[in-house]
Amino acid sequence: MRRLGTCVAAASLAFVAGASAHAAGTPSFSSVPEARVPEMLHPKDAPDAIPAGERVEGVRVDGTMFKGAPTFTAVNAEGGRCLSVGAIPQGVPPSGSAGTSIRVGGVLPLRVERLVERKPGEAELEIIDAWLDGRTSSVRPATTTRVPLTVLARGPASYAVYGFRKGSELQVVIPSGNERIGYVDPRAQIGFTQCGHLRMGLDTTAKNGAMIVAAVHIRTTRTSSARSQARVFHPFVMAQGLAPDEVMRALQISASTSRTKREREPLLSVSVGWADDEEGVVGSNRAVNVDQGIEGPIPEPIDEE
Amino acid sequence: MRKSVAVIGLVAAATAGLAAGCGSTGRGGAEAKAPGVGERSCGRVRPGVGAKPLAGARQGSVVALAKAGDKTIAYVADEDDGNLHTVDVATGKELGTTPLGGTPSQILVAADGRVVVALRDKAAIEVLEPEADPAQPLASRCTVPTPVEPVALATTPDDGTLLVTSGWGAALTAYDVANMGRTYEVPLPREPRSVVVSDDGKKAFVAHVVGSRMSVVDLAAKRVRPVDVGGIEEGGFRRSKISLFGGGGGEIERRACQGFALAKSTDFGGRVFAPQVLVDPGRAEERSEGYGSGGANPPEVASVAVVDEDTEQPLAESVNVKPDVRQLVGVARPRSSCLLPRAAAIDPGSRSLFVSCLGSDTVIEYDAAAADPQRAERRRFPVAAGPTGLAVDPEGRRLVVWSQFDRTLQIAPLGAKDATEAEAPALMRVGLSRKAQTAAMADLELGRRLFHASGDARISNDGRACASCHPDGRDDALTWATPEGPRQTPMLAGRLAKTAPYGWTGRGDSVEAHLSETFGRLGGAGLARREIDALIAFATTLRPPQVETIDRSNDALVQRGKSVFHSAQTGCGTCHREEGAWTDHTPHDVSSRADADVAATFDTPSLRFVGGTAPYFHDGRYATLRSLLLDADGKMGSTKHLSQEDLDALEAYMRSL
Repeated sequence: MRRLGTCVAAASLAFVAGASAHAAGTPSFSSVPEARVPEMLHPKDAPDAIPAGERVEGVRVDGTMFKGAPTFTAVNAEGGRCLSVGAIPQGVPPSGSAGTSIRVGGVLPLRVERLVERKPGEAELEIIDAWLDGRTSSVRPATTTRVPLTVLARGPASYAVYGFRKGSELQVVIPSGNERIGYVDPRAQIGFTQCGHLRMGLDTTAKNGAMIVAAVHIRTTRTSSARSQARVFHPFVMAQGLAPDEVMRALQISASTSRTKREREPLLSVSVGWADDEEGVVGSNRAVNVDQGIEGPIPEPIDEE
Repeated sequence: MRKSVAVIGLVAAATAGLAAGCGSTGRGGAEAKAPGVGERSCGRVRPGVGAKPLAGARQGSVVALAKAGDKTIAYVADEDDGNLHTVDVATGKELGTTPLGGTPSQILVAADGRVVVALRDKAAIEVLEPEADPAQPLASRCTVPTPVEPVALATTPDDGTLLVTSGWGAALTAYDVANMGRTYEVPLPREPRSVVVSDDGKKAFVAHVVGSRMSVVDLAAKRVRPVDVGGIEEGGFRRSKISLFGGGGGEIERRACQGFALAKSTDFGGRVFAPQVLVDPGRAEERSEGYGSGGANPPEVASVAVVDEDTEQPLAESVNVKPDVRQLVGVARPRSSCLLPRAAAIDPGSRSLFVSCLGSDTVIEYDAAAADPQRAERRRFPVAAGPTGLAVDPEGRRLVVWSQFDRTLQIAPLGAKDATEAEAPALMRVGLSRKAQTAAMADLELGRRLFHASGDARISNDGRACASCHPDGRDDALTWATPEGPRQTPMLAGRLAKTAPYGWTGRGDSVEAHLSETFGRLGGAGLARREIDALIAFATTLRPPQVETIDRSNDALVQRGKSVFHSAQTGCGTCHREEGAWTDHTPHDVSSRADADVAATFDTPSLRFVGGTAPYFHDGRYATLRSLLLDADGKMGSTKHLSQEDLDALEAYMRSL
């Protein structure tokens, strides 16, 4: 047999760009601190009316929005706050919406949630339960609850996924920044958030496990290898005001609980990684009207530094 | 078209084209009669000398790690050259090469340091003993017969029993590790591959390339229980004949395929990981635009089934197909899917599952703790072409990847156990020595790469490779919706020579003509001339089952069946002519037209290796040979007059073809 020889070479084969993820160090279920989240206020406890002028910071009630239908009023939350009015139906994430419209009638329960990230990895959930009177466009705060959050996983670009335990549920809190989160919930239903975070419960008693998968664009610094890549316009990323060395890049987040017969407690898994193989998407610096139709990516070269 | 060449260590290996078939029910028992097999003692001659296995390593692999003093060495099964390479993992230096008695499929380092190699083309395992110096070739101690085509190995937790799965032989065979004496054998469904043993040593879990199943073998009772590892896709969209808007959401049942690999770790509460793909071949009663249902849902999606060792059921979350969340936020560029998973390994330290993906030449790291690891990808990295072997060195925090097509070993640091950084590590590439290569083999190498190229727009527009429907050059046991009606995938290995025309309607005068139509249906852009020639050369030289090693113990029955087959009253041989590779190369109407068929006549298929290629007929309507024989009476020959014994004989003869 003729030998063609042995060659040994150390080479740095780049990982597929953007494919790295961070999931090591996910805590055990029992080590996740339990927190109490009050139920939403019950309509039977509602006051008869709230005089005009009472407000909750970050919540705007606009009775003039529906000029053709004065029986409706719009309620919007600002500053990354998420809101729910009335009640949270079974199976629906308790957060995700930043605005809704209500039929003007009696006084309704309102919940406003805000993810307060003091710095990456240190956060709490601020939950304000209040009463909303659409007739007077007023909101009266009732209780404020602060839920300390624990880091379930850290990702690239200092991104962190938070959570807490609520009975047999793992509550997962996924920050969105200013971009919407697209997600697939444990029932395989698709949803989107409009506010600053997505909070969803995973039922750890589910026989076959429970999982949520989400994706969101975040602002991050371009790596040097990406600087020669063509600029890619993306209709879903309103990347206005990006610095020259910044890109919007999609993260994929997955969180699950599952348990085999012999496992003493549910096994948690939380992973965060880049969702795309590219080194990021550089958004257009102009506003885009998606309704006008997009034909496709518009490549624009990025100048080398 | 260029004439194919008959060389082939390479071909055999890559596609496993060694054996065709796979009975829809287990057969087992077919053994090698190769000279020299089973003639020497298998016991350890010099106990304590040489390398030892890594702690807890009891599953065979294409690359296996061992400790030789303070060195970690990798044994690599080189199926092209029929060698065992020994490599120092720390330095990447190839220490030595041991010639083997056949084509290796897996290696396992026994507790006492002996190295067991499954020789897939010899229907045997070879037992080797290491020398004190790992650079010295290992000494061959014995070869032991197995059912045809041994493909995977594992030992029980007490290190006392070696389990061998055989692909063509469709069996799990147990051996006493001390002397390699056979203790028992359990028939399995077709195309078994990897095997792992439960922590308590009572059960073996066996992956299957086809059939949407995993087998759970009760090692005490010698009983097999099939576990369905197929999945459900909620809200999947299929193209509809009725809807103006191209179909509606609904539940799609997906079949599991490509079950080559399994991984398990005692550190993981009874979880068995089974990388696979979940397939939607479309509805047989509807025509489609290609192969599969069309519409928005891809025909094949990657999956990692997580099976609970105790309940013997997959976590439903792991086999439920979910929407691609990346698309929800506008990540439009598809990421290559692992449609040809071939090896898997666990790193308990980081709770990672590594899967090697043939075709896309990638290793993907998943969070093994996830309910659906497929949706919890941590990172992926490109590796040399043809990654067929993986091994984790938990102590040295290294991942070792063997890529057969490029003949390259790559060694990647795993990082700290609790590392949160997961950036690109530096991979050490080790090109292993090889035998001299001819020009013909270079062509076959190209053909092999093209055959397994997934995510290649020249082949298909949905990521599928030739090997997606023809794993190991055989068939996927599926019936696909096509523009002409339902079409069962035919086996290629050993079936292309002298069987023209090709395709169920016999429209393809040549392999090339049929290939062109296939590419069209897959939406592939097409290959260059040289690539087509190479692909055809590879496909036509896929090595068929090793006929000489098939069990001859029932020759009398087979001879009786031959007489029945060729008798004028039965009439099988009229169309399935022996001199024409068991076909008359002519279309016939055998009253088999299905609702979606555009024509009623079908080319007589060759019966070569028919025993292992269930289901049967162009639409896969018969699950077993026996049901075909009974139901086809009067439409295709006559079987009504046959006694039970004659039917047994006829079936035995057909299985021998």
